[in-house]
Amino acid sequence: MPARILAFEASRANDAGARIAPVSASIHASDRDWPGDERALSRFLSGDVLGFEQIVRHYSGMVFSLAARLVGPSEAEDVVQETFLRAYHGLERFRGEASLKTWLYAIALNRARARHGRLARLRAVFTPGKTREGDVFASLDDAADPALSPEENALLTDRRRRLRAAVAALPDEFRAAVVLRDLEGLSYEEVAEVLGVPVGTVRSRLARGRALLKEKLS
Amino acid sequence: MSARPDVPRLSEEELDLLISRSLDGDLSPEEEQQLERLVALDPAAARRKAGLAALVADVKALPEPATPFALATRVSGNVAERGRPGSIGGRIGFFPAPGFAKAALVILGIVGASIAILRPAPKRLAEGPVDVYLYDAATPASPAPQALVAEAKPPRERANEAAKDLAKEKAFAPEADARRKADASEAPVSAVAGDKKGMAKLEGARQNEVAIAADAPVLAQVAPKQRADRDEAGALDAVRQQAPAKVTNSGTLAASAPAPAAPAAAPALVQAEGASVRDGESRAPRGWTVSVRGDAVRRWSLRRAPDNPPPARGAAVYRVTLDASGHVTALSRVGAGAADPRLDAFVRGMVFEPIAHPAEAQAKAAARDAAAPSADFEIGLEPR
Repeated sequence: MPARILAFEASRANDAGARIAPVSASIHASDRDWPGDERALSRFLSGDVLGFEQIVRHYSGMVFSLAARLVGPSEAEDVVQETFLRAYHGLERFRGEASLKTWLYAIALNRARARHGRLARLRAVFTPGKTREGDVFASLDDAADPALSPEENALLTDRRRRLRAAVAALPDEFRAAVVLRDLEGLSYEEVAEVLGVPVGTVRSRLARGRALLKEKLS
Repeated sequence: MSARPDVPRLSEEELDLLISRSLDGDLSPEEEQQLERLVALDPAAARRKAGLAALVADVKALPEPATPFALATRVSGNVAERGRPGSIGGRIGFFPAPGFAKAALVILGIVGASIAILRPAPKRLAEGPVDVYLYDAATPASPAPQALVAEAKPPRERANEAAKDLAKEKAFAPEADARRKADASEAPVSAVAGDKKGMAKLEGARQNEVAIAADAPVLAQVAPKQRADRDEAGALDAVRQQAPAKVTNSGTLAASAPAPAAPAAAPALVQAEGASVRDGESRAPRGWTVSVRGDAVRRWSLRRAPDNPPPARGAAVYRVTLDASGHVTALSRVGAGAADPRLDAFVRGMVFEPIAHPAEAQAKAAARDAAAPSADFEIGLEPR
């Protein structure tokens, strides 16, 4: 495949320590066998199914994380399944102009948007009055930090839930930018690739989204 | 905001953009210095920057959802089950390489195009042998029907042969020709008489004429015996008595055995209807000459006519419409003349076929056909 595969950016470790429930151990274990985007792709395109399995093992946790933040954990696995199914069919057309990670994120974002739209309409019909964000993110904020006192953990949990609710209540374009940048740790350029917008637009959307978040929390 | 002239005044959105970019390390050194100067001089800006920094830190510290156990295994299994295009082939150990389907399609397309291009043009299959009976009903010595056999020949060739025979008939039997003309002039030819111009054209299109025998030759043999008898009823009775089993109406045009003896039930009636008496001579019901008129004369010829044609009582002209297979789909009688349901049914049962022409004429005909998809033309029926 003549495509130019951008070097996969090493996983960002800047805020890994602050995360209470990090990516599952299986993914970290699989990273030891990760040959890189280009070799895995070449292996898959040459007809070796193991190439795609390596891609799934390496990226499924990241895609799940993004999907869970966009549609909630209960629906995230379905988004992951749809994302990799589409990736499987579209991988031959992948030109390598973007990294495999941002390409998968873009697919996941589209699938999450489609699913979220359907879910929102269904919830509006069957559970009127129940907010979407409370339903989606409630299960993610119960983890306690053992270094804190119970009161501090309670405050922390409350702050997380309010923050998640505020993020979930953002307009879609701002929410996607905030999630991709602040939660998934993508660079401006990667966020621009995933969203398909110029970098300047990412800057303004991030600034506007953060300002809206602050307004909601204050 | 600051009122100092060396610090630019920024709107709230511009300040948020600067702070946001600063938190992400996206500012250039000059922009960073400008923001620091602004924050140092404006407490509101400083508070906003601190608030946004704390917010971003909190967002980044949000716990990441734990990946479900064996997610990658489930995803891989699901993709292998649902996503593999050749999953059916995979069950039998067939794993086509990427692009196999496209290559197969290209090859199939090439093969299909080659077949379409190289395939020889389908030959027109003549339905034959086709026996066309031409005879002069008024000739006493006329034996069994003289068969002009056009065995599986193209329509044009058959038509040419029919025209040649007609010319021979005119050349060697001037009497018979004269008698036929006299018959025609005396016959109640109401429709044709009003369309002499059309009939003259019809003469020029003799190649499309086909004679249909309506009676058995026995009648022709019997008739001279009755010439002395000027009583029409007596002549008919004599015919019925002398040859009741042979008076048939078995004249056929297409794919028929040469005038076999037909059932003797109906002929009397046919004969009674079709017979006429002139100059003291009992005349048998005669056959029909069917000719195609107008532009269609070069494109259509009669292929088949129904058995048991009605007795000839006078010329008639019909305008018929054909479908693509040459079957009559609609007809209307042209000109004055009494309606004859049997003749209508006879015409409705006719089947025509296109005449093979050279390519140029065929192209013109095709262009005409395209302008008027259904063939709509006149046919003339003339008693022989």
